[in-house]
Parts: sequence; structure tokens; C-alpha cells
Amino acid sequence: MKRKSFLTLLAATALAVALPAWADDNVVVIANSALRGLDAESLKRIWAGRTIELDGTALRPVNMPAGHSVRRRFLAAVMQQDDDEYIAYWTVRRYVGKGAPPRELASGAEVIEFVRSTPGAIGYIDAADLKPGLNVVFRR
Amino acid sequence: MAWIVIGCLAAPAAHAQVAAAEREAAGEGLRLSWSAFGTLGYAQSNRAYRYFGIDDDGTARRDTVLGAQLDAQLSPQWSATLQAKLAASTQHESAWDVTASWAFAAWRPNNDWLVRLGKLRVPFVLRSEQLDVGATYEEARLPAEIYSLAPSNDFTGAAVARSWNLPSGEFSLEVYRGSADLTKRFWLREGIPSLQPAGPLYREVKTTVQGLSVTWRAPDLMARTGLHHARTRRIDGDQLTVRPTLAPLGPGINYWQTNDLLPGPGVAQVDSINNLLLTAGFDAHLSGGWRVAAEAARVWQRDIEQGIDAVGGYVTVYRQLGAFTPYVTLAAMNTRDPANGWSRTLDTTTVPGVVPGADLLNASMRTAADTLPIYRQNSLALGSSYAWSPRVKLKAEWMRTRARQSQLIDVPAGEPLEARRRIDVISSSLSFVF
Repeated sequence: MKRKSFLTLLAATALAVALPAWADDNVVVIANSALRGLDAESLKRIWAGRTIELDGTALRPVNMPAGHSVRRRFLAAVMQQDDDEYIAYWTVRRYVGKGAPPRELASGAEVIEFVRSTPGAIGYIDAADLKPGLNVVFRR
Repeated sequence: MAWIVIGCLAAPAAHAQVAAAEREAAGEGLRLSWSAFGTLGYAQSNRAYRYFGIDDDGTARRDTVLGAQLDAQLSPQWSATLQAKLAASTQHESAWDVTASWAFAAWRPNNDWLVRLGKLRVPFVLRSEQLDVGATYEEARLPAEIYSLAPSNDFTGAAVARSWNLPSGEFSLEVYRGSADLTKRFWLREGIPSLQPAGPLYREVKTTVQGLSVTWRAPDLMARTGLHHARTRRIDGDQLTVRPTLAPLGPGINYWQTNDLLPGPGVAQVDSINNLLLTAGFDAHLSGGWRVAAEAARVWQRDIEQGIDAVGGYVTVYRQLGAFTPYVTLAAMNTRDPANGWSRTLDTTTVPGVVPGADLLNASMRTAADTLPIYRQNSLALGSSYAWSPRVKLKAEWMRTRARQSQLIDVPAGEPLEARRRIDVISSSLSFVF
């Protein structure tokens, strides 16, 4: 009995230690229904403005605001950049005449609404905000 | 004044952004976004004469620029961009002008093609497109030894780009064609009595440019090479002199005739001249925070013997240390004969005072020499940027330029064009985008 309690306590402690790290990476990319599973490299090109259409579908990527924790996690996981580097990248790209950065939406709820209602829309949210019926194209 | 103008530029954009949100919500798909940029700069040299517009009185005109950009995304394929800027006038010594740097429509039918029509920037060298946006590069001043060689940075026309997205980066080929009306500034040491006053002379020219550039962009390397052709003629209809003609004035006395209105057998002239410009450069991020950028350019001109025929280049080494990025730049530019020789000849040939009209003839030769595009100089710059944030940079630089002769120098009256001159320039600036 004592041994079982000890193991339970050990497992709970391990989970408590591991959970924040696991949760920290838990970003999902959702897209309007026409799009299917995408790899990180494809997503990188989309958020870098290099890919604007996929399989004939015109893409409308959206970002969270600068500094948002979900955006930071997405940029680290997919773009291998921090917020400053991503902003600097788009600052140059905008001023060499290659377009403006993706539109920014304030919250996961706004991203979900935009993605659901807009053909070609693609965005990222915290996994905890996932709702039934959303088309997940990438999970980290 | 500057802030009033930038406010005027920004206000419609801000209003448009609100309108955009409304339109997008209504499902029309139009998205407007605006941004602004600027550099507040000050530079001072240790010389009473101006070099690159800078003298020992100091000036904010040389480096200060404020601008705003409006991007209208009509759909993922169609967009339009308008960029306006407030900067020192290129047609006046003390005025400021608001001009449209960019005003183009872009069509991107798919991931690989981009077609732009309107007023654009020529991709001559590495930072041609973002010259006015100081927050996008580290240097307080980009090397004049390369960045003053391009006949024009802006043109009105069309550009077509094809990109290839590769696993390690993006490769693109861009071709363009267009034209630009430019104002060339010359400094006349003494002018021509009762005809042309001493001081600045502004000459309007029309340039037709076409060319191609190839660019590689990867996280740690950007490289670009290009071949560009420019055809230039004077807007006032006057022709361009091929070479001066030796004109006899009497036994053993000659002078160099530079214009058909002056006495002599006449000068050979052409309606326009052609320049060919070859450029190559790279910007590489190395390990340990080190970075190297280098560019070289070669300009050929064969139609007249007094045109620019030059080679230039620079190397900059950077080291990122936290928010600071100190750098050192070595740059050089040299023009070649026959223009160098003609400059020397026109500046040193003197008609004796006993000849009637000697003052006029001597002044005509000096003035012709003043307008020749001679650049024989090199420079060393030490500086650093400080990234306050990804959108704000503070910069400071010390630069020493050694020139044997340079049209970037406003040579004082009575001094020869060709002389060893050493100019130190200290610059500081605040660059931002938002």
C-alpha cells in the first residue's frame, strides 16, 4: 500500500514537472476546410509570405499580436525565430516591396472565427482552445 | 514642419485601416495596412567645404527622412503599395520635398511570379529597395562608393520577378524596365561671369533604365548580382558633349572649346548616352555573431569621353554584441580615363589674360571640368548600431574619406579639383519603423 502511494506520488510529481514544458509547446495550426495536413516547412513559407497559394487555394494566414504567448510558441516551433527576428524579417520584406505581414487577430477565439468563415484562412491557436469540427493541419 | 507632414501622411492611413477592418468584416476582402518609418540624423565634418552635403557647421538634412507606406491587399493575388517620404530636396539647397517613392500595383498570380507596375525601386545593389529605411540596416550611412554609382534608384515602369523556393532559401530573378526624371547636382567653383553663377547647378535629365538582377535569400546569406542599362538625355533638349575640341585663338595660343556657343570649330555632341552597370554583392552571417557584407560595381560608358566610367566597392565586417552591432567599412571608388584626363586638362589649361575674353574662356573650361563625374576616393568608417527594439535603431559613425578628386566635394573657389583632401565625418541617427 505504502509502495503504491509512493509510486502515485512520484508519477504525480513527474507529471507536474513535465506538464508545463509539454503544454508550452502545445500549439495547433487550424485551417479552413479546403486545406489538409501541412508540414513545418510549408507553414514556414506561408508565414514568411513566400507561399500565397496551395493546391489552387489562395491563403489568408493570420497572426496573434506581437508578444502573445501563443505567437511566441508558434514562431519558435515553426519559424525558428523569436518575435524580434520575425518582426525584423517582415520590416525588411515590407520595405523591399514584397508585401505586408499577415493580419493580426487579438485572440484564439477570433482566429477560430476567421478560419471557420474565410476560405483559405489559416491560423494557430493554443491546443486548449481547440473546438470540435476544426480542421487541424499541424500539431506541435 | 516634418512632424506636421508625417502626420498628414499618417492620418489618412490610420483612417483607412479602420475602414479596412470594416470592409473586411463585410466580406469584401480588402485589407489596408500602413506603416511609417524615419531617420532623424545629424552629421558634421571637419571641413568648411561640403562633402556629400556635410560640412563643419553640421547638418540634419543629409540623413533625415520621414515616410509612410500604405499597403492595400485587395486579394491574396492583387495588392497596391504607396510610399511617400519627406526628405531634403534634390533640386534645392535648403528646401524639403514630399515625394512618392513607391506607387505600384502588384499582381502575384501564384507563389512563383510577381508582376509590379508603377513607380518602383531598382534592385541595383543589396539595399537599394530599403535605402530610406535606416532601421533595416546597421550602418549610419551606406557607402557612397557604391550607392552613388547608380544612375537612379526609382523608376516608373514594370518589374517581373520569378522566385524559386528551395529548401535552403529563395532564389529569384527580376527583370525591369522604366524611366525616371532626375535632377543632377553639380557644384561650380566660380561659374561663368554674367552667364552662370558660382555654386550649385541643377540639371534635369531623363533616364530610361532596364536590367535584371538575380537574388539569393537564405537565413544566413543574401547575395545579389545584376546587369543594368541606363540611357540618359537632358530634358532641356541640349546635347551632351563627346569631348572638348582644341580651338586656336592665335599663334601658339589655344583653348578647349566645350560648347558650340563658344568660339572655335565646334564640338562633337550626342543626344543621349548609354551606361552599363554590373553589380555583385553578398551579406553573410557567420558564426559567433560575425557578419560580412561586400559589394562591387562597374560602370561602363562609351558614348562620350566625359561620362562616368568607374569601379567601386566596399567590405563591411560586423560583430553583434547583444543589442550593439559595431562595424567597420572599407570602401573605394575610382573613375578612369579618358574622363580623368579631360578633367585635368580642362582644369589646368589657361588662356593668357592678354587674349580678349580670356576670363570667359577660362571660366568655360573650369565649369566644364566641374561637371565631369570624377570620383577618386576611398573611405574608412567605424560605427555601431544599437537595436533599441526590432523597430528602433540608434547609430553612430566616424568616417574618414581620402579623396584625390570627387564630385561629392563642393570644391571652394580658387582651389584645383585634383588635390589630396581628407575629410572626417561624424554621424549619429535614430531610425525607426512602426
